[in-house]
Amino acid sequence: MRCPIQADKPEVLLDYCSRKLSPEAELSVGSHLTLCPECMSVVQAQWEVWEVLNGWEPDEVSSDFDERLFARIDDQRRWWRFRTWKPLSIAAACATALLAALLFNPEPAREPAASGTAVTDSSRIETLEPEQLERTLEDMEMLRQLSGSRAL
Amino acid sequence: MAALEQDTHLMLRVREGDSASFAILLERHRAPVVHFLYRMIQNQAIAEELAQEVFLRVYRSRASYEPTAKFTTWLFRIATRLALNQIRDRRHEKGSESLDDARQLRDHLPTVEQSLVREARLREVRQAIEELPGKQKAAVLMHKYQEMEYAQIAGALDCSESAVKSLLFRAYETLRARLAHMA
Repeated sequence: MRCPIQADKPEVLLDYCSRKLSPEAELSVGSHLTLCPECMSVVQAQWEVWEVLNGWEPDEVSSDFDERLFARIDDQRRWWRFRTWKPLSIAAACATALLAALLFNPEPAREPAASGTAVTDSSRIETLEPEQLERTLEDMEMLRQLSGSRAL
Repeated sequence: MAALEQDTHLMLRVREGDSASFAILLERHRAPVVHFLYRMIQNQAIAEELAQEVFLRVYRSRASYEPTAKFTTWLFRIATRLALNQIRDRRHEKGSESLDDARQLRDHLPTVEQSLVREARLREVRQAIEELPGKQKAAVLMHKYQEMEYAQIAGALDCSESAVKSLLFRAYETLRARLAHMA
């Protein structure tokens, strides 16, 4: 017949070994051990295992552990800032480009139509558009550069 | 116990943006986490990498931290998950052997018979731990070296207390049998 402690509550022996039982429970188990060679054998073997495990000393943690960790945290922050700021900076660049286009492309004054004037107006508009586009692109590039340096 | 309660308060301050509190938590728990991971993985370099990942995750999730459990329970839950993933991934790698065993033996060359016996027994138990299923291994290491209660270990392993007791019972039974085999 198996010992009831081992059959129903084997952790009691573990708690006894690690001195986690109440004084009364410890006394009770101690008395049981004097009468139960099976449980005594388990307790002695468990103490032996722990004695061996006590000798398992790990190495010291590397002296640059914290430094490496904080470097990783900083890298994470930079990446997160870039990820957050990039769409915002592109949106800002587009808004500024749109504003610039509106400011540098005023509505042409309405003049009574006359022969030959339409051709002149059209050529004037055609001349202006490439310059506006170039300026807008320059503005966008500048904003992109500014946003990139801020993210770092 | 007071120091353990303070962990929660420190982490709440980290949540509010206090980096100094994070540094205190790191100072307090760096070694236990690294040592736990080392005993799980039995490779110092990987253990430190994983430990860094543990603290990185703690820091990353600071904004959503809620003190629903002890800080150490949460910390070791993260550590255990990372360790178990590492063990699982390593199983697929062929020929990956820890250099630590060879180094330890070389560094602790026995000069007397007792040292020889002690080293042999330690090597045997370490090997036995290495061969334990992941959760049994984690339970033993948290129980023996972190002196965590069953409830805490259950929280870290995301299982019931009775499951933890069962894990520990089977794990220690294996270790006892391993040593008895040597006798």
